[in-house]
Amino acid sequence: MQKPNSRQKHWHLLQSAAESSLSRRNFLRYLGSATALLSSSGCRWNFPDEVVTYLPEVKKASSEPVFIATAEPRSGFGVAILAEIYNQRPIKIEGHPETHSSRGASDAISQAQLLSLYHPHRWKNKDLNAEVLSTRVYDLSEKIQSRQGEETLVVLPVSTSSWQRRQIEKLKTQWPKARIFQVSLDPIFSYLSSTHEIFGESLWPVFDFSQVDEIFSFDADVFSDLPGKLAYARQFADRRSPEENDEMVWLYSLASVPSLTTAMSDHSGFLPQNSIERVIQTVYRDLTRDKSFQTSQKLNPEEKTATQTLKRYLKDRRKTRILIPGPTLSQTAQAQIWALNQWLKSEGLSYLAADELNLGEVKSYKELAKILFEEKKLSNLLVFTEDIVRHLGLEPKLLKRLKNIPNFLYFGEFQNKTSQAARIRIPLSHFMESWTDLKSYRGETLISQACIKPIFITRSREEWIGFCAQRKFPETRDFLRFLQSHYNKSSGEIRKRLQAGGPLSVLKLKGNPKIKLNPKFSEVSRQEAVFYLGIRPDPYLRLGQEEFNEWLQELPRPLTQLSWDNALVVSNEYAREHGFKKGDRVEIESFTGRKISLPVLPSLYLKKDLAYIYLGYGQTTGFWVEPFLPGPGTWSVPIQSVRKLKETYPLAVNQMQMQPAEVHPVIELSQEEFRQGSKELQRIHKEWSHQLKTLRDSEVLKLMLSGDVQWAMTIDLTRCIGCGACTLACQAENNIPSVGKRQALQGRIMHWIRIDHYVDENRGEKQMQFQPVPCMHCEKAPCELVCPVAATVHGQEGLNEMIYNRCVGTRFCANNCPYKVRRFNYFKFSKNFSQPEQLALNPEVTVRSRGIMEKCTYCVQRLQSKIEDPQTACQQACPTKAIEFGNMKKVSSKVARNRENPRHYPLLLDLGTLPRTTYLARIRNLREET
Amino acid sequence: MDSANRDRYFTFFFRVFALLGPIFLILALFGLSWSNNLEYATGEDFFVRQPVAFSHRHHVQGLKIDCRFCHTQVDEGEQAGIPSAETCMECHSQIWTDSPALEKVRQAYAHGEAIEWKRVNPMPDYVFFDHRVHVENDSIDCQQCHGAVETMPLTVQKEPLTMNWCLDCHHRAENFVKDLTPVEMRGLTDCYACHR
Repeated sequence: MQKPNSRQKHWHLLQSAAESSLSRRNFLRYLGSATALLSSSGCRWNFPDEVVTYLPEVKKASSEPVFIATAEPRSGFGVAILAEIYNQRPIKIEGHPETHSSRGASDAISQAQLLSLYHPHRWKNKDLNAEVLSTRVYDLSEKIQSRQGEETLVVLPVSTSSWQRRQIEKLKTQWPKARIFQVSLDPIFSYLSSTHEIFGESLWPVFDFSQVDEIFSFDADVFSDLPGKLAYARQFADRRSPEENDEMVWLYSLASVPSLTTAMSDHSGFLPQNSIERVIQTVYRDLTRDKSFQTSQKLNPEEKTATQTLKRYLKDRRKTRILIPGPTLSQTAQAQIWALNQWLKSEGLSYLAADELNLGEVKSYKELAKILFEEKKLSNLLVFTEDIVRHLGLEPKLLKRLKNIPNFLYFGEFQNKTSQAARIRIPLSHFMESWTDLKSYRGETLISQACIKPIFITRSREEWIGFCAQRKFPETRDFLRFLQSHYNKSSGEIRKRLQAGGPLSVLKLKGNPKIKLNPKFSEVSRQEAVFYLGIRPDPYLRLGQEEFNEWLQELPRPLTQLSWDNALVVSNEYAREHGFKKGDRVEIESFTGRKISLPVLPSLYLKKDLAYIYLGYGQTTGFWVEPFLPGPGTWSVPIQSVRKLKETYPLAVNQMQMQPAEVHPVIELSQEEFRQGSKELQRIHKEWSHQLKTLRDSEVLKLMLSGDVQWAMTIDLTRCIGCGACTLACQAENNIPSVGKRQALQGRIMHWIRIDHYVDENRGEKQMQFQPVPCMHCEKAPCELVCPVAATVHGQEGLNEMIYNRCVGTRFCANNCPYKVRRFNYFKFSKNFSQPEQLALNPEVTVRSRGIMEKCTYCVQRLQSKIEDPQTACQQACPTKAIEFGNMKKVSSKVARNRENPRHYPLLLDLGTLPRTTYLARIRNLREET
Repeated sequence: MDSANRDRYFTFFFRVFALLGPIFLILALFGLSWSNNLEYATGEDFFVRQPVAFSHRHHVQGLKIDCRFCHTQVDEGEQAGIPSAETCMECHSQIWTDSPALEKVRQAYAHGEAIEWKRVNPMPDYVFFDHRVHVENDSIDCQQCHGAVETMPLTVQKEPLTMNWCLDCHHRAENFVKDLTPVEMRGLTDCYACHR
């Protein structure tokens, strides 16, 4: 049947339908407005408010955002970012597209820096107070200088900044006898000492996964601990995609604590840390045939199999392999792995001199503790940012000594355990308010420029160090002059870098340093422990630097889905055996006799004799673990006994860990299965095209979808590493409030995109699977049918539109949504945006009130701005480019191609909702003979 | 009254109320909604007391100043923009330099403050209105929404600015827009076009 006029006919049909719905709308409008009028009893409904005029210094109230290139310090290294500035205030952070350190992506911590900039708990300075403080520091520094810096200890955080180094050098010339310590508890700096042990000089390792075929991780978490994690994740994902590579890169891991890396690895083994060290020793001895290595240690059966497997995998020397030591391993074990990499002549590994990165003088916390408690005379203690009391785990008795120091100054942004002990507290600027330079993980010099005037009249760390040295604050133009002379650049070049971002200069990578000393052999002690407790920095709060950040606190931790707390994570089997349930308090005792009481969180993805806990809590939420540790920088503690206590403790776990049952939300295939053609995917493809065909045949829908622009999203599960950047990018972009622990316990977290976790045991080995779930924007959306007030309707571009001002909060839609992606505002969570925090709100997005349903809008505010190929916030942030978004009617778009991909599948296909957000199946390598 | 009579009496009144009650209610609702569209409710033709008695008629019709001389941002951004005191003083530092009507402008200019003008054409917060997309390519004249501002000695709202009024144009843009060819016509009646 020919239908030349069917389109016209249906236009008329639609128009008349629109007119008939007009009367219904009229009715509703009359009803609504009548009630409004009744309640307002005849007031004018819109009271005249004030209009924003241009202020003289602004000239124009800009409604177009401006981007400023800057760099975020992370464990001392720089990550290149772009700050989106709207009317002179930063409202969003994105990765800088032209640097290796981010390549346009960002992670959860970068995204959340926006909140820490405007955080209401930041220390503030009033005009007068600032003067008083600088006068006091002035007097003190004069006094110290007169004694040439005797009895003085300055504690600084580790930084790759040359500007900070210059200020420290100035301070050293002024206070020659003072001890100036750059310390960090971050385990990554153990790389500097382990390379020193073997190469004779401190080196910083830079990995490159784009050339390698096999990656072996020994208790290293390359995707969340290392400063180069964004680049590593991207390189890994690019080598992982089955379309772009004939042979996907292999990732093996041997770990004591599960992490994103073990979750992404094809085969992972779990052993306690000392067993891993023993395995490394044996493998090193047997492969390199190092004669000096004699060990009488016997391996237990598990260690033996791990050793044999590793030796088999590594037998033939190949350049395309890379071994990555965990920064938490002992120095000896790390050194052995560097040596093994040399033996392999690995192409994926190069080094940078630590001194060129300004990391030449990094001291450990052990050295700091020694000085603090053995030095008899210590009258001046200046601590910058580092929370030494927390990291040293100082109990009240030891703290007393610190408190007795007459001049104890603390410079920081937030209250913490050290600031509570200090005599004078001095507020510091956020990195977005101050100027410095930083090096990225691979030696790119990035300028960290100010994006906003200091909100609370504060000064930066470098300025205060300079003030202590010269009793005069160095100014921005001093910094710019320093950049010119230090990097030997013209002012034009610097101006260009300030405008466009990107590296000012790049350090040269060293290929293969010579081994000067053979790695020493050391006996690894073995203890009969109940289990080995792994200690790790929290993936989001790090060592507590971000503890005040509610966005990061509320973001469910990968692998456990726990928010707002740290807990003793034990395996499910162990918990069942001892009758521990989620939230039960237990008291654990180490062999040194220290005790701590913690809540238990059973996890499916953990081996029986292992447990772990994250550091970084104890000031606002969670538990302070450091006092339990035998010393700072202990990353594995054997546990002597565990005793169950009577109390329980509520833990806000966002999702129950579960194994996929009949429904397979995540489709996982081995590479061979996929190349041969999977029957399951073929069945899905057939069913999907059938559903699409019926949709095309129904004429009304066909008309609805006939436009040139039809938005769609695909999420590649092979690429997704479950890092949580998308969730926080969405939170920052869409003004999503954090709800707090009490509401989180009720399951009322407002995130518009969540990451589901599944543990698959079908192939004998526990395999973690991640699945980000935003709104699916179904063609036949179940939510739209049940809304009594038509507050959620379909748009002509295929968006499932949620209209807040129309919603009356029946929650029928959330109930009818099979994907459970709708979030209800039970309370006026937007009240949580306090005064300075409101500056972070995106003016393009409504701040929702109480009683309103909300959900992912595909960032409609970005689609409506006139950018070619708009990106959603989650897509832009994703470090691995797992999320693709675009117009599926445009043949060249990535989304259109992905929807034709054989891996393509929709979630819950059998419901026939025809979602616009679809997935690409997860493909992994599978080695049969393990 | 015996009990049977009383029952009958109540039944009668119950029936009367049951019949007339809803009718009254519906009439009341319609009456109220009718009154909601009155100028009194929408705010049309109501003068808003402004800090400075500014006359558009004098400046636009009399002096032939273009709208965009002061509302510079109308084709660049969402807001048309209200000029700062600096813009006023560009002329008024030369003429009417000591007029008492301009005292507030001079004060604002001297102290670098903003004059707190009252909004004449209000939009609810849940509407994301963008001036730029409406005026670019000269598709819609300012007067189509703001009325003949050039004839107003004191500025008033001339159109109801209700959703129904917006939809008149969004439904049948060809009746209102001079030249439709350069205009991107997609999704004009989607809810997300204005509410998001």
